[in-house]
Amino acid sequence: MQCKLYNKFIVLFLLNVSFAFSQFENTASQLKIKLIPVFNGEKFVLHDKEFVTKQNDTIKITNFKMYLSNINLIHNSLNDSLRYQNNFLIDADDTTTFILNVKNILPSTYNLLEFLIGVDSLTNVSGALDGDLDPIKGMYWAWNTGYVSAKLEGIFKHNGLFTKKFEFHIGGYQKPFESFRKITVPFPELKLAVNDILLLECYIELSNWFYGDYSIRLAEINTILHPCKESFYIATNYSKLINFKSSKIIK
Amino acid sequence: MKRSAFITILILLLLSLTAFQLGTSFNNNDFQIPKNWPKPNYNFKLNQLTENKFELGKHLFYDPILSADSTISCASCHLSFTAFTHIDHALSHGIDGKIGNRNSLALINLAWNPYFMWDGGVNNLEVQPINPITHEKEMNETLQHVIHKLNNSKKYKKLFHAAYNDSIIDTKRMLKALAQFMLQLVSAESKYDSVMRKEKNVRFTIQEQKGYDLFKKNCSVCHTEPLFTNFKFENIGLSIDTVLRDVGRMKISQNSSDSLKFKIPTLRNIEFSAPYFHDGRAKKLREVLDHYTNGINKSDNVHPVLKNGIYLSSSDKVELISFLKTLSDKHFLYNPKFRMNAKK
Repeated sequence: MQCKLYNKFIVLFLLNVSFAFSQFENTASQLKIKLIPVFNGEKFVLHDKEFVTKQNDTIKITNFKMYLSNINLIHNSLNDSLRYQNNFLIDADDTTTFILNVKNILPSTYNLLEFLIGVDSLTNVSGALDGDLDPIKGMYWAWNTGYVSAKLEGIFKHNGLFTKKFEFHIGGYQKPFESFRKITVPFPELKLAVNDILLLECYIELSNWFYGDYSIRLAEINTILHPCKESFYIATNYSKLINFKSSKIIK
Repeated sequence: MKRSAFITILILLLLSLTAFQLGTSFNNNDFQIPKNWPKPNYNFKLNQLTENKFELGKHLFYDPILSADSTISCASCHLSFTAFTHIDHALSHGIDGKIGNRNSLALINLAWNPYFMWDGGVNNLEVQPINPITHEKEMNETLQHVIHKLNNSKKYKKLFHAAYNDSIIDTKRMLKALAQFMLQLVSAESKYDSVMRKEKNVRFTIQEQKGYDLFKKNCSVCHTEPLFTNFKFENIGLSIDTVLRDVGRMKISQNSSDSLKFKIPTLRNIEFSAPYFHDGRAKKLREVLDHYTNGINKSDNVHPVLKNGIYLSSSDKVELISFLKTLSDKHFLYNPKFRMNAKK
């Protein structure tokens, strides 16, 4: 008798827990972003492959890391006030980081992906953080507090030989040289139902790092390691790094 | 029997959970703000104070495990008896006897500071320790290796578990615990404080009172009471050190109007925190006052008060120094709570 009561209690408790979880699971959708790094449209390979920038520099890239944060889906004609805070560090050395899973998306109709390249001001003043924002990840400046939004490093040809290095660490959140940029990627309107996964594929066109409003000739500028006018310009260049490829809903 | 035992266990479990919540917190769950002081700048909601986290932070603060060769701890340059700074060293020295670039700052009333370091480059107390830990002339260590060492230490496994209720040791937890220790370094029990609080039988001497009057007239525009700093950056007319070429705030702001500006330091416990200025060029308080009266290098952005000139007679300086000594807080300097292996 007492044993039965005890069992009943346990069953009720477990039911309650599973109910709470099922509530959570059953009302949300998911967003999966697959990023495909390319250079001038060609497949990107770290370290070994040579690429030529639009300014005719022949380069090899040895390191590429970038923060994507506050990833949100919106509809440009619906007044959707929900905004999620999230942070992802992508790292060319670890291709698993090119797939971003954003859970708990509200089922609705969407046609716009919105996010920041970099980390927002509030996060930058929030002290010690963990996960992808752990300073241990090497994307953090201690002497001038702030996250490095993006790093691109490599070597370039000088007189026909790969003898020179380039190193761009673009970071900081304070005006006038803030390094985060708001990006919107439009896609054909899609209705996302409960439990659906929206798969968005986007290219990261790395050649745009060197080209845009601020065109980089590596012989002239090859090292930026603190917030400055040039880092601000490069941040504007990298705001054009991500381009839409395809979208579909996985039921 | 079984049923009543089950209910008893359930009640005990609930009670123990509640007790645990209470037991690990300080009795004064909130940070104690001294009377008539402003609100602290630190956001305690994101790092609620507990005794165990404070203890963990204290162990970390005093442990050379944070440095590459286990020779330097935070306390190496921030000693409790000397207002948590490095007395007798103009520039602090770190690993392998390497000399740093600046005079170590006194760690006092940090909860009120909006930013840290002489140039204000650090915006949150929690992330400040990353600087000395990773600086090649200080501890020359990597965060990865510190966390690795802590994870391999039985002592720290225990301390982190006591503080966070599980075995995860990471940067965030280490830094939050260090912050808990540093936040408690509050100095508000000096003679000056007793006088201001009109405590019985505590009065300034005539000399101290004259010094206080001079202080209010000449110094308090920057060294504003009760924290004795307004947290601004100023050029106080020190000529640039030709070896260090330290431009101060300008390095952070990239703005030439900030050239040679440094953070206004607190004057609390100033008697014990020599040497003075960002590069420790003044060994004695008298030298500091002599600079203000006779040594100002009047560059464009020097503070207007100093541009106009401060006049202090020799006896004024004696009076002013006697007032500054009323800012010494023995309760703070010799508080066993802030020391390792000291009886509480």
